[in-house]
Amino acid sequence: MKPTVVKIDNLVKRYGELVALDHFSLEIKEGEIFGLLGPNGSGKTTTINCLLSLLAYDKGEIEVFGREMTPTCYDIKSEIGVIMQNVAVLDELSVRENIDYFCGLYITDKEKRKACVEEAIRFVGLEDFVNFRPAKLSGGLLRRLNIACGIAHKPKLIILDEPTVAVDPQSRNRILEGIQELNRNGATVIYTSHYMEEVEQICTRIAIMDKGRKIAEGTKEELKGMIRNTESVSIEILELPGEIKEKITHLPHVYETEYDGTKLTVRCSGGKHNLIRILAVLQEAELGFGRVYSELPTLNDVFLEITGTALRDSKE
Amino acid sequence: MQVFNAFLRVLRSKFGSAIIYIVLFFIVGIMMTRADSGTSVWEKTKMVMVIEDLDDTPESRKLVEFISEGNVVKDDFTNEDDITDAMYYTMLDYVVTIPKGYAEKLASGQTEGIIESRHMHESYAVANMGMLLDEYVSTVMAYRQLGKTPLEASEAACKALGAKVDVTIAQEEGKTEDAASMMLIYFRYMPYIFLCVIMNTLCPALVAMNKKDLRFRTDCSGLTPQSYTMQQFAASALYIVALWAVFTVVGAVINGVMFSGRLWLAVLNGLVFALFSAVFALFVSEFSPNPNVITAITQIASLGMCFLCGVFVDQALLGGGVLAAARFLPAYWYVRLIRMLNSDIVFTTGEAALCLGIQAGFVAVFVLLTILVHRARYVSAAPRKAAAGSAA
Amino acid sequence: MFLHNLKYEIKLVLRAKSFIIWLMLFPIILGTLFKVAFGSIYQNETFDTIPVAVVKISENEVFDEMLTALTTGEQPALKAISEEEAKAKEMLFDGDVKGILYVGKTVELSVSGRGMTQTILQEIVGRCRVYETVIRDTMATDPSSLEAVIKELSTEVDACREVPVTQGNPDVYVQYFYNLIAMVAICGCNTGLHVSIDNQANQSVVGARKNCSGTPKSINLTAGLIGSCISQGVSMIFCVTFLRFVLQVNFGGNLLLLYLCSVMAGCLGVAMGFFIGSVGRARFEVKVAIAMSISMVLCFMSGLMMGNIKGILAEKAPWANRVNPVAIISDSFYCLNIYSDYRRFLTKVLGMGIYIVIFTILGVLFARRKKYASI
Repeated sequence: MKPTVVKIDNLVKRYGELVALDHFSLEIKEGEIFGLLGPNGSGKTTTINCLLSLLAYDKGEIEVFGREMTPTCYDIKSEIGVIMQNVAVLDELSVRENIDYFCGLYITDKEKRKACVEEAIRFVGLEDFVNFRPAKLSGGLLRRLNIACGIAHKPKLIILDEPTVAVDPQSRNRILEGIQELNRNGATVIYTSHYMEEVEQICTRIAIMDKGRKIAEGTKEELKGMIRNTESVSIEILELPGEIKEKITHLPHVYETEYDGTKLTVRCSGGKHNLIRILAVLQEAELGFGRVYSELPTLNDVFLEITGTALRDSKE
Repeated sequence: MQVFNAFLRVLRSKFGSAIIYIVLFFIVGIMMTRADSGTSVWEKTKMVMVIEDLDDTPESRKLVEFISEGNVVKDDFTNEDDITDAMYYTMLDYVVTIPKGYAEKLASGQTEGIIESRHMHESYAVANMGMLLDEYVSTVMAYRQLGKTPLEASEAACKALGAKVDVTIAQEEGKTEDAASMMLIYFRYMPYIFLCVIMNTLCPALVAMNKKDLRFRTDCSGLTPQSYTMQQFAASALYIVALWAVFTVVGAVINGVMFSGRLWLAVLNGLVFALFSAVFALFVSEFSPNPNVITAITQIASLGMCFLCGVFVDQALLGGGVLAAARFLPAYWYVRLIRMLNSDIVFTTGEAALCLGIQAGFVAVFVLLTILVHRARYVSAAPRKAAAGSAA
Repeated sequence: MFLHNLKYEIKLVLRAKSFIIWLMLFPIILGTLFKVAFGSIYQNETFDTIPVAVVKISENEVFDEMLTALTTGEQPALKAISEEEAKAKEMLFDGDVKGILYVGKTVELSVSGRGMTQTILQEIVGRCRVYETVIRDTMATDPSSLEAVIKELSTEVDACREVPVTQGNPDVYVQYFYNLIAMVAICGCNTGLHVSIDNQANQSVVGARKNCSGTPKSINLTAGLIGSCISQGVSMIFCVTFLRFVLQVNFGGNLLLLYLCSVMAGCLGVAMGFFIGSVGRARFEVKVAIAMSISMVLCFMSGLMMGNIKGILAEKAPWANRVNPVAIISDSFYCLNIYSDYRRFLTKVLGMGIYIVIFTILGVLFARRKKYASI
């Protein structure tokens, strides 16, 4: 059983009347890439800030590496690397100087720090930009610098708060690959985002938040298994008589059908070969159809089913 | 009127920092008015003095009587340190010491250095006192030629020097009321106040509105650049006129003055300079400076211009070369008109119109410069974009 | 960790644009402008003959004799033009003459302004009045002594001996340069502001990152303050050197002590900015506005714009000069120049030290919050 790196128990944080975190609990094991998924304003960043002892909270307990987290736990903080949502670098320093500066807040040994800085530069792919000032870097490169500043000191726990906002696809892929490599090297990662595709891609375990509460937690398979919808079949069809639609609705494992005049959507819960059965009905009725899609549920579907709203629609 | 409304909203969003500048500089303006006695630097003013009579003879007492006339004599200083401190803080202007043996030297005809004086800060009054003491001794010596005793000669000298010259200041019709002189003092410091407040409040708003990306987005819309510029001008003008009105009216209320006669010229003078400050802010904003640069330019422009043009140091004291250079600055003409209204120099209608006209000329020049800079910065991007587009 | 932080703090300040502008360019430009403005104040103006209209009301032979003396010679003091009153007034308003003399039993003067020329006219006429009185008395008492009396009146007398109050530079306009140095020092509040903002999680993202680090906040703050003071000290030395050696401003007094005092003044500015930055959660722009406004008001009250404001405050509100940090700074320079002993100077230095300690302690008390209610 892997040891617990982060334990958040019954956390409550209020901003006046607004309850930002409502009895939020979490446990993260060593070696995980833990995803914290939720729409804007769900409390992800507040959770992170409380975890880092930046924010005072009203109720609850937070433990990191088995000890209560307080602002003066500098030994614990030395093992944490933080990549903030907003780029936190110094405009007057070059890329190398920025990484060296922030690494120096953790590592005092000059030679060791130098090696760590060079490794961090290589890791994020900023070798060609070491003497550039942040103002000269593109958004993606700036984000990479932001990450380098957070991980140069080789922390055991890395917290990334929406690190890929406004980043080009190439840089995004590089960042995600980098995170996985850090994890392979032994770091536990907490990754917050409202982009489900990223979370699905790299996270080993995911918690979904909304309105300050954890609404679901588990691996992606476990989360998808929580909802009814296991397969969505979409077929382009121009004419669909009512009795054929009824017949499809009564097929095994089908719990919902929708037809908007051009597209038939069939939602199935469980079962295999649902697509074959649906197509067989249409062929039997000699109905012509166009393109056919079969999609597995996404985390957005999970969020939609649990909360009634889509992940992207909420508060954006 | 989208741009007009948006600009006013941007100004409103910066109202927090703007009100700090407005209130503080208004207080500074009132304090400067109260601090300025209104007398010309060349006028004789009463001095606060200490007179040490070490001779204590009838002749020395006569001298003490003569010096005390028209000045304030203090005798409550107990030691030299207190006197030095009082002189440093300008609570004491002058110390006269009549050394022992004064009467004897006077009787024997010795005049060199028979009176000692000390002062710390130079002024016309101080220089005049020195000359007056020399003149007193000279007159005493003259009367001694008539066979008078030193005491009799001293009395006669006192009487002769006590005769005042009647001086009147001739004025053309329409003289500004005496009560309005406080208002003119207040107006005199307006260049500094207007430059600081307008630069620090208007410039950041203009910079925010004219950010490159925002301008490019606006240029893609159906709004013509002329309309955009005119709406910005209109919003800026509204803000400036409101600011000018606030400073003018509140200043008048605090100084207890009703505008009449030539004082309206001072009001108009203030408006024209406020407009200059606004177009200067517009010109600076074209370079999209950050807040620190704006503040630095404000301080350099306001302090530099005001010192060179006679706002803080009277124009009468500044050298010919300095004034010749200052003619190229609008504050010089502003102060010149105020001096005319305050009877420091001759007032003529033509000269007054010239002062206003030149300031208006500066406004026009900076408007043109702003347009030129604007075209150079934004239009010059277009050919490069076109070349990039054709390459693709 | 401390030295690492210190190294980077100095780099940050020296590279910051605001540093270059406020602490390097600003004193150069303003100092030069001051030198240009004040440099010619003491230049001897060539004295031109003053044109004056004479309106005769009645006979005054004595004054006529004196007027003749004043209007003849290679460079006469006056140029007299006899006119009727109306014409004389017209000439006065047109600027053709600087004054009108109404000559009767007594002499009256009418001028059109209050400038140097008008004052000189007043002095000349006053002198004539005295001469007239003495000569009339002589004619009435002992006419035979007239020549001796006139000779005595014409002899230049140096009766009043000026005793110097100080061995230093008594030039009153040097005070403006003291205030300029004080202003540059207090503009160091910009640098102090950044130390506060860059170390607080609720003020900047960099502050949040630093608060999460393994370095205690106390080390970050200490390094920040010391680094800023060092950079500010460099700029103060630069400022004083430029004014003293390039613009040739004579500060009087002990130059080494002036340098040390300037460096200390710079530290006061940093401490003040640190305090302002630590208080409250206002946006950065608002804090800059507050810091600059306070600095300008303090500079004004110290006499940067109006030299006599300090004297007025000394009379109306004497405590103001004692609590105004900018006034304390400029006073310390003045004491170094004027007073031969260092007692007052040390008092001012002590005042600066107290302010540095108070601002720093208060700033630390406000900045030391470990957790924030909101970020």
